Order: sequence, then C-alpha cells, then structure tokens
Amino acid sequence: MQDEESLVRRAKEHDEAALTQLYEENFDKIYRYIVLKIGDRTEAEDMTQQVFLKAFKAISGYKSRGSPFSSWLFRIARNQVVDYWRKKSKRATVPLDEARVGSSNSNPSSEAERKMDIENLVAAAKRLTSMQREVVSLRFAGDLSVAQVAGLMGKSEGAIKALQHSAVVSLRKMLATG
Amino acid sequence: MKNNREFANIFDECLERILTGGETVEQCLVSYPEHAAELEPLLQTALNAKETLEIAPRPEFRERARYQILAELRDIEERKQRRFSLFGWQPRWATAAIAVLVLLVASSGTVAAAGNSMPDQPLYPVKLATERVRLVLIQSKLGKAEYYAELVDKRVSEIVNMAEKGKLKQMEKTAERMNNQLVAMATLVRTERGAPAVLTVPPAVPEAVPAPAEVTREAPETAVAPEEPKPSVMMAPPPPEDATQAPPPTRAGEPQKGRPSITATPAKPVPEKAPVLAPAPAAVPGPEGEADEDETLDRRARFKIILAQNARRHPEALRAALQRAPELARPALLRALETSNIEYEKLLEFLEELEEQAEKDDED
Repeated sequence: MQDEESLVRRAKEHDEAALTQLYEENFDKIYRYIVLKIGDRTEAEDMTQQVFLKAFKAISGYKSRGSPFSSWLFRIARNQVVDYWRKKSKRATVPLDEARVGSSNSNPSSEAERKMDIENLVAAAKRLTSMQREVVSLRFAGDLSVAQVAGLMGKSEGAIKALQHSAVVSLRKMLATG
Repeated sequence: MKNNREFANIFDECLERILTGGETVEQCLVSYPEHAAELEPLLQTALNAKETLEIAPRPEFRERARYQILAELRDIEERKQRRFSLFGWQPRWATAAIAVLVLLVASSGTVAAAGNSMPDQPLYPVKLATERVRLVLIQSKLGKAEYYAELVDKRVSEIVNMAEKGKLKQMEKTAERMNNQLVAMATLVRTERGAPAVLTVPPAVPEAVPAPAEVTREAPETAVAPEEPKPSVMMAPPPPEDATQAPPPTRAGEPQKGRPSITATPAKPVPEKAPVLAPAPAAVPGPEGEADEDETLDRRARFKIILAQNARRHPEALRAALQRAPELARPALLRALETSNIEYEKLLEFLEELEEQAEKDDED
C-alpha cells in the first residue's frame, strides 16, 4: 500500500512513468470487467480507454481513503457501464468469439474451446441477478477481493460472500444444462 | 440460513486459498471433508469461470490507448501552461501577424530568433508562419520544392530533438508536418515544368563526382531502411536531344556535356543550419525570374543530389534517435521513420521512372 501511495503521489504530479505503471497494472482487469458486463469487445476496449482517460484527468483530486487505486478505477468503470446501458441505442455488437484469449501459448483447439466457454459464460452471467453478476464481474474478471467488492457495492463482506456463492451455484446449473 | 452463510464463508476461504495462496482444490477439500462433495464442483466452476475470463484487449489497442491517453494529458498540461505564456498564439493569427512582420520588417529580431526555435518553444509558431510566408513568396515550383526539402530537413531535426526531450505530442505533430511537406515536395517535383530535366544530369566522371553522390549509394544498415537509392538517380544518362528537356550549354564557363553540373557551381550557403543533423547541402532558391536555363539545370541537379542525400540522412537520423529515445517515444518515431522511408522511396522511384522515360525518348 505504501508503494501504491507513492506511485499515486507521483501520478498526481503527472509523472508519466507512474501513470504508465498504474495503466499497465489495471488495464486488463478493467477491460475484463467491462467485457463481462456488456459482452462487446470493441465497446469494452473503447470504454476501458475512457475509464483511464477520465481517471488520469481527475487524478489530482483522487483521495485513497484506505482503498486501493483500482477500487477507484472500478468505480469509474461501473459508472461508465451504467452510462453505456443508459445510452445504448441500436449499435451492433461484436461477437465475443473475436475476443482475444489471454494465454499466448494455447493451441487452436483449446483456444476454440475457451472462446466457446467465454460465450457461454457471458450468456450465463446475463441470466444472473444484477447483484450476482456484479459480484462475479468484480471478483472473477476484475480480480478484486471480497472486501474491495463490498466497499464498491456498499455491502457487507458477508453479503458479498453469499452473493458469490449463490452466483456460482446458478452459473454451474446454467453451464451444465447449456 | 446460518448453514448457507457458513458454507459461503468456507467457499470463499477455499477460493482465496487457491487463487492467492497457490493451494489446490484437493488441499482445500481436505480441510473441510464434510463439505467436500458440495465444495468441489463449485470451486471447479468458479476456477473455470476465472480461467475463461483471462481474456485481454488487443495488444496494439492497449499500446495505442496508452499513448493517446498520455498524449492527451500532456496536451492538457501544455494548454494550461500556454495560458500563462506571452506567446501562446494561434497559428493563423501568428501567420497573419508574421506576414506583415516579414514584409515590412524583414530583418526583425523576433523572426530571426524564431528561426532556430523548436516545437516546444514559444517562438515556434513564428517560425512556422515565417516558413509559410517564404513559401508564398517563392514563385517557381522548383524553388518551392527546394525550400520544402530544406523544411523537411528542419522537421527531421525537430523530431529528433523532441524525441530526446520526450515531448511526444510535439514530435507527432512535427512528424505529420514532415509528412505533408514531403508530399508537397513530391507533388511539386512531379508537376514541375520540364521535370525530366531534373534527371538529365550529364554522366558522372569518376574524379569529378562530389562525395555526396557516392554516399547515396551506400546501403542503409537496418531492416527499416529504405531501398538502396538507385545509382541511376545520381548517374543519369546523357541529356536528351530534346531542347525543351535539357538545353545544351552554349556559353563559355558553363557546365559541359559529359561533366556533372554540380561541380561547376559552388553550393550556396544554407540560411539556417539544422541543429541536429549534419549541415545540409545548399537548397536556397535563387531570385525568381533568373530564367537562365543553364543555371536552372544546375539547380535541378543540385536539388536531385540534396534529395538523394536526404533520403539517406533523414532515416539515419531518425534511427539514431530511435535508439536513444524513451520507450514512449518509439511508436511515433517509428511512424516518422516509416513515413520518411516511404516518401523518399516513392520520390526516388518516380525520378527513376522519369529517367527511364527520358532514356526511351532518347532511343526513339
């Protein structure tokens, strides 16, 4: 945390190395969170860029209040997603099978399987309750701890654990039945 | 309900131990044998979901987005600083003001001081405006093309300077200017009246060929270098008989057929020395209306040599800057290098085509 404080302090002074480090450490997590929330790769890329642009423009006013910097980024990302759904008109979506898979050494067949899994997972996640979907997105896509998710969602850690459990039970049922 | 909460806690604890503690599912199940049957499939589902979500944005997008974000932040900072700057002029306003300034007070100290300014300096808009005014004042296409060659030389120096300072936004804008000026120069060469004459340099005599002509035949070292400039560009065949393309010298003291015309006329001084690159050969347009065809031919030959030299020097300078530049500056610098390579290559190819055409005309 001490390291992050110093990093954020430098970023507030527009130190490009610090800004770059914050970007590198968090970009993929925010991107994954947005992909799972909206199911559109192209939009997710653009929205992730907007999240970082907004965050870095406003970084001089950022106060940690004991939470990691990533919590602030996810808060901005959540608002961005809410705006997206509010403003969404008749834009076409890019199928998720075009989404890049993280591992670079996977063979084509396992990559194809994983792409299918992503599609299934996104489809299944859409059938969760909004709270469950939010917990799954923040925990499994955003790599946040239960405490961070609780802070972001304004709930107790116990409530987040319960939501996580019920979400995984539902996901298992949905993925098992297709 | 209590059991559910307890199970949710156990499930989360196991998940944390696996995800952050590096334990296996089996190790975790051993801790809770009474819940193992229920825990195991749920942990597998959670871990599968986690693994499935290991997707990433396109690397090129990630890189580009980072560059754009940092560039925009830099731009905002500069705008803030410029508000407090005495010289925070808009280019159009500066153009008008400097046009008047140049015409009425040609030797103004401000204009002179702006001549060596860099894109991150307050007087740079004055420098650009002065260049635009000079371009307007030059009437012949060859004169303009020569001046554009000089400007491109300056732009390369500025790009290198900005890369070393890590001023990416200015570097990118300067690279764009360089690209536009290269294209403008190429267009002027293509449309210049009697353009083929540019190519009709008399055949080179080895002992009389100036050093730069040999240098242009050296192959660039790296993979991103342009094609080796074709020797035919520098060692063009004899001028065609067609007097409209290459009128033969008629007066004493003028370049003789069979001699490189470059040796007959000393290079004129460059008005503004490029700060980073080695001094460029003279490319100063003479007074408009001089109309001496032999001198024009001589200027064309000189211009051709300058082009061939720049085609070698500019990529070299940009590559050298690329090695010293900070990581963030590399994408824009690579683009500038690519642009320079492509434009010079196209221009030299065009000149070669013209030369081949001139040869064919000769044969006909």
